[in-house]
Amino acid sequence: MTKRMKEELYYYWLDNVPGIGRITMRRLIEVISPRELYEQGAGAPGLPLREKQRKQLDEHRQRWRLEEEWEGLREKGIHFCCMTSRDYPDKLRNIPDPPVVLYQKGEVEHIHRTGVAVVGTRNCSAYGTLAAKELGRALADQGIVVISGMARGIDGISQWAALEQGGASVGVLGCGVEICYPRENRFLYERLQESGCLLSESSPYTQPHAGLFPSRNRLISGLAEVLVVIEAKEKSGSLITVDMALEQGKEVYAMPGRITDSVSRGCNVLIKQGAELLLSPREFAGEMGKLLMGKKAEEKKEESPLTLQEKELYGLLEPLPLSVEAIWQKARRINPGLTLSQVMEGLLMLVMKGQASTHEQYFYRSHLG
Amino acid sequence: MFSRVLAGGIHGIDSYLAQVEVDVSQGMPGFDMVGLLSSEVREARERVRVALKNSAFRLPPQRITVNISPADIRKEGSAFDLAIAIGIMVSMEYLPQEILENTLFIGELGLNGELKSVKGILPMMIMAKEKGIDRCILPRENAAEGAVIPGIRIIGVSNLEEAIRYCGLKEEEKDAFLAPTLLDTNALFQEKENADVPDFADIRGQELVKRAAVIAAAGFHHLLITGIPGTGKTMVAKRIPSILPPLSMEESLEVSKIYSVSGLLKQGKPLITDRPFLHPHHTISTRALAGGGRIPRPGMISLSHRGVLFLDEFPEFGRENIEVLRQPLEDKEVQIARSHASVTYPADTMIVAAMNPCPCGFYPDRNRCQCTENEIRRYRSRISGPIYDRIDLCVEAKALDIEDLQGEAVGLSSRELRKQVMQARVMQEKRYKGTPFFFNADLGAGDISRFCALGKGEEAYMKKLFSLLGLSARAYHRILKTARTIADLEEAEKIEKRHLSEAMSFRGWED
Repeated sequence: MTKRMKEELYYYWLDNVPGIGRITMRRLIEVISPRELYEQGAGAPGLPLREKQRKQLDEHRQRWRLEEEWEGLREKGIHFCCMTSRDYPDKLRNIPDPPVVLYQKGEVEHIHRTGVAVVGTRNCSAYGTLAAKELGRALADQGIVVISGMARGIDGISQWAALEQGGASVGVLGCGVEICYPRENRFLYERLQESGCLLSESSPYTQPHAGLFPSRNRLISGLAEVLVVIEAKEKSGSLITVDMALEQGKEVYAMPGRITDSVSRGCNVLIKQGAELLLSPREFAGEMGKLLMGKKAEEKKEESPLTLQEKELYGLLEPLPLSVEAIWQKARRINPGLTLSQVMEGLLMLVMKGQASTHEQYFYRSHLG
Repeated sequence: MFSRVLAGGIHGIDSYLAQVEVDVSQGMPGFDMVGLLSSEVREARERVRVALKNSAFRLPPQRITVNISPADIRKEGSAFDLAIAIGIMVSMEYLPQEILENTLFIGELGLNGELKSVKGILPMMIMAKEKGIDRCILPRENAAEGAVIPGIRIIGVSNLEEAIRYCGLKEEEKDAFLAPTLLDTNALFQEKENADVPDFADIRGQELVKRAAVIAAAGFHHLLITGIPGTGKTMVAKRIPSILPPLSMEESLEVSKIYSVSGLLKQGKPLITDRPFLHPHHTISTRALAGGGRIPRPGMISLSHRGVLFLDEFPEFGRENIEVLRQPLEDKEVQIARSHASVTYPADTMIVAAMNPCPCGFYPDRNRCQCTENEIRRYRSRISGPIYDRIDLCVEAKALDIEDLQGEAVGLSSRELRKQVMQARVMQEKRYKGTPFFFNADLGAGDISRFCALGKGEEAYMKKLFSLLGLSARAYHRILKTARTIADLEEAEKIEKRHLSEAMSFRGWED
């Protein structure tokens, strides 16, 4: 070994040794640097390794081509950093159990920006969907990065909304960065690489499995300044994230829900325990903008005026989706002569003016409150 | 001696003229039958021999050869018995040759000589009329069915002896012995008017579903009703035939033909005068649904020709059953190919499908629905894209609340709704004159721009909605077709904004 190579190459090698996990790795690098370990092999004195691990380490060392592997990583557009790298995010340095290595894909600088984590259940209600969307957009408007886990439900919805609004988002994955999980979020997965960033502490082709997600959650809270829980069941991954955030000394916001909704139970319990209450996504984002980004409060946007009829129709809508049939029935109670086409024309006009949204055959108000 | 008797064979839902040639001559006594016969036709030998004996005509110890032509079509069914028996009688010179001229003999014989009813009389009569046949001797039970086609003397006989006696009589004595059966088809249609059919006025609430039913009926669009169990999906579907225009005589004949070859025409009701409404259970086999079998038979989709095929719990029908609907939905007929022949059954049916919005039925009420997104997606994906593509209208039947149940049923009756539907049909008739289309639902993607042209304002409106709601191309086409029908219901020549808006309320989840 004549050429001295970057430290990262050795970290990358060590991270890929089978049978050596994050904990062992951290113990190892307390004793010996990965470079020395690579050069000396498992025979180096005082290594906290079992016999099997030693064997695996040596075998793997024989096979591994440091530079080739590193080149392969770069070809895939994956950015690798380790604890000793200069671009290792400082935010993660200070959390308990910091990750030793990080794999990133996309625009890496977003990781260093100010971010708010938005998490929640996978099976969210229409109410949760609405709030997640609104919050994602509002944060994007303030220039705050939305950090989440790219999961089904609240996570993906808030991230997508932020990206659609022209903002940025960081997806912290439980699997490798080359794996899109869940598969239905592949558009989000691609979008995040363009105008956001993907981050994982597992090697690129690690398949998702349940054990990886709880430890992933500490990175979500670690990267964020503040954590917002939109909807969560009483026992859920989102609450693990909350525990991590509290451990890391981050502030936690929870959105209240009806006491009968199982998906709001976790949030309501958090509020009872003293979490901050998220009253309005817009206002919250405004506050965060002031607090974190030093922005002045934004003036209210001009909305296109509604006609009297549209106002009446808007009054019939709720934040939760109502079917066309239900809206028509309500409208007929006020004006029995209303035809379906009149109601539909009005509803679609509200959609065009940005006041209402539609999903399948349902309509609801675009804004909370 | 040789004789040739005319008979009718069935192929698919059409009939062909068969000639039963009988030769009785000296030689080794025997009875041979040739002409590509299936086993039930071959067995006629025994039936004829015994029936003749029991009608007091003993077969002589002579060589009898029967050939049924055309020899390249496989003969099936038991309708040739009478023709064979009569052929033997003529060949033995018990009866004169003249009686065979322009006369069709149809019927199955019992051992005691009785004449039993057979399937497919109606198509045989249609064929007979085309071939210029003026008399038909057939089983008495089939006489009414035969008499549907005017211009043929229909002689219903109850046994072989009667048939032979009738043939032996002089022309002027015949009518006195057995008068030709006559039938007033108009009376059959009248009868139906008074029949007790379910009416749309019975349905409380569900205005949107009713509206969808009217639009579907007007443009002959396929309809998908979603909604939790017990919201009246079946009630609505059952009433759709009552708002479709009454069957015309031509349509009635088409439908009756299918029922005739299936042997499903009821005694005393020789014509189908109501639009069929069939609702098979979801455990139905693919063959029973689409038609088929070793000897092909029409399936449910053909039996509901010109009517409604209601598929409740649509996703439960299974992939194979759902996919088999593709060709009939596209071509409006079912082709069944077998090694010896292929037959085509008409299948111009309106599919009304009903399903739950998700496996548990409560989506999108997330407080009650426990299904995961994946489960819902999987459930819905049981209906494949190409099938979904053909269903122009989707509507949700909402759970009824107490106000709906207690309120007076104020909805329009089927009679009034039918009037609207008929207006829309007239509009379509005018528009599609000289084209292969009948209804708005028939339009393909290429024809939509021609028949569903939009004005500038409407085009801009659709463009805006298209991008705002992220509609797919096929959703766009479906909406245009539906809007065309809505405009037709109003007798509007142009599709306007309000028609498009209303059509938007019937778009499905994939759009």
